[in-house]
Amino acid sequence: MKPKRNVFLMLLSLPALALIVLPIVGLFWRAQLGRFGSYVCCKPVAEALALSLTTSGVTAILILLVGTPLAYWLAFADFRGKRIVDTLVDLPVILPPVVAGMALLMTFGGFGLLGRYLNLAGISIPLTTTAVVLAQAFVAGPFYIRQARVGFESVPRQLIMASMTMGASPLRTFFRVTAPVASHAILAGLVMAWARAVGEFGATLMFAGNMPGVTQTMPLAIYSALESDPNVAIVLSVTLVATSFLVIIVTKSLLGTGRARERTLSMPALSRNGGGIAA
Amino acid sequence: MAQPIVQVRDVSLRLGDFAVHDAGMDIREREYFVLLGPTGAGKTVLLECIAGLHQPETGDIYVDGERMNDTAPEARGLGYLPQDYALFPHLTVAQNIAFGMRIRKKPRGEIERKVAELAELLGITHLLHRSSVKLSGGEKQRSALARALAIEPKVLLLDEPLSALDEQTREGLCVELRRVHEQLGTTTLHVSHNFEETMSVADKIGIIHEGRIRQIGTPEEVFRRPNSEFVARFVRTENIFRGTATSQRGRLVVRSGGMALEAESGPEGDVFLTVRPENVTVAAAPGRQRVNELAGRIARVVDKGALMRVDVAAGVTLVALVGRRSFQNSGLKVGAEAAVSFDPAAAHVFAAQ
Repeated sequence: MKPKRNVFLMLLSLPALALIVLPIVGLFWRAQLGRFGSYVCCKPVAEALALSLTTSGVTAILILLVGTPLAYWLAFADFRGKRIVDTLVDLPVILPPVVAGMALLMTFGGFGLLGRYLNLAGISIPLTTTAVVLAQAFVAGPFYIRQARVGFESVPRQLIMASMTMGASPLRTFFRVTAPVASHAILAGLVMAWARAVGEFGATLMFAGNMPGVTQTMPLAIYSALESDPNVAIVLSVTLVATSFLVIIVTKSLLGTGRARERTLSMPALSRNGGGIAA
Repeated sequence: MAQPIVQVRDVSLRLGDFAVHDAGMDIREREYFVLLGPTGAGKTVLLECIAGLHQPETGDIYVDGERMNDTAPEARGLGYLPQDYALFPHLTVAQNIAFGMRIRKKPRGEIERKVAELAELLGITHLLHRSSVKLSGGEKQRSALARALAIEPKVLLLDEPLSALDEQTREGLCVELRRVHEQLGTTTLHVSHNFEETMSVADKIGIIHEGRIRQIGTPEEVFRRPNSEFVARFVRTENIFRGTATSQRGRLVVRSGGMALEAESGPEGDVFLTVRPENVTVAAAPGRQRVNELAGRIARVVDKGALMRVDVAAGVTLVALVGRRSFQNSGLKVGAEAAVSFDPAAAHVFAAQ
């Protein structure tokens, strides 16, 4: 392209870039990075940080365990109603998180679809850390399932056939061939889902509440801190921005080196819900 | 004679656009069997069916006397080399070769010995620690072959093993495949669409077309005595004439379009008479009207390297393959008058369906 046209295109791109970058700059500008350490160590911040890390970690493991079979099924099986299942899996991605919270309440709440029976057994999920994990898994799961599915689909059928003729059962073929070959996509999907879980706000607030040390994750702590100590809110925000940035870099490099390069879905899925962090 | 190691009995199945109808064939121990057919003939589907990757809709497959229809691919003990080699991209060449043995939980020492041995046999020792992604076509082929051989399969199944390679590599690997087959005493089923490749490796050939096996025989049989017009064309017989055959004085005379061509033997009635182009001779001037001699003009000459293909228009077109030197010495060229002839013993006659 001619240099002149290049400059013109760059100027046209500036407004959008400014829209994304300026708020981030604003945030860092207000942040008192020199006192960062003292804020992070104060109890509410440390609690929120620890809770966010543990819940999102558990969520990631949960998603990996239950999401992988579903992703594999969608990748390889042909069945009636596959498109419906496919659509259902994608639903939480565009569902407003508040609606997700409502839906979870109607299911696991005291009078909910399952909640009424759980209640009888003496189990109550809303307003607990378990509820945080469920909310995160509901909202973040599809990010993993989608990406893992694309990863599985990109594994050549011939590899699977070759493995089976050499004596590997379908399960061993999965662990020895399919999963390792799709590992980049699996990992990228997991990182994306984890990031989305860390940023979960709306569904958590609705379903799990906002209790420090129990259900108050980082995004909820930011929301609460705005009223009491804006500096804490800013420090937490900066931390999340930095995490998001890192996550995107890691995901991009994973997908870049993965063999599934062309066929994997990339950043548009990430940028929905504002980079996955700030819900 | 011992029981065949692979028996395919009336196998039919349909898979998308590909289908196999009532296929039947036997492969004997240590035999190199090539299933030859044009693209889309159903040969790969049949091979994958034997490997256990598809189930036949009807018919049976036996390996070593045991019915395999319901046996999972991993329990069949067959070595399979897919068309694009399917080396595992996350493993090195050595790990690829060791894969099947690891699955079978062979002791480490044995695996290492076997990997080294096969690498030596196939000349890939220097590649063992390389990633399988960074190999050339020929190197991939050798590595995948070593991997398929490592499990000491009852039968080695090769799906178009040479089609992705350039001409020179292909010729080298043809020799290699045959050498490995003999050295290890394996039984091999090789699927191919390439006639020359097949002739250079096969003990036995099965020709498949539109999902049906048309003829099974030694290369010599299929080459010299095709049983149908399709097989005759596929093995490039070139000179194929349809006519009516009658026996006269102990000879078979086939009348076709005003010509009377003689053969030594064959069925009477509606027949095809075929003559391979290398058995047709071209001479400068008509001789003394010998048997099976036709006079005409040279219509076309195609340089085939060592051989020249000469098309002579003599009412019908007869194709001859002549040695380069002898063609040049004869002084013949396009447009020149020429006499073409062939020995009745070189003519093959079979009934038209």
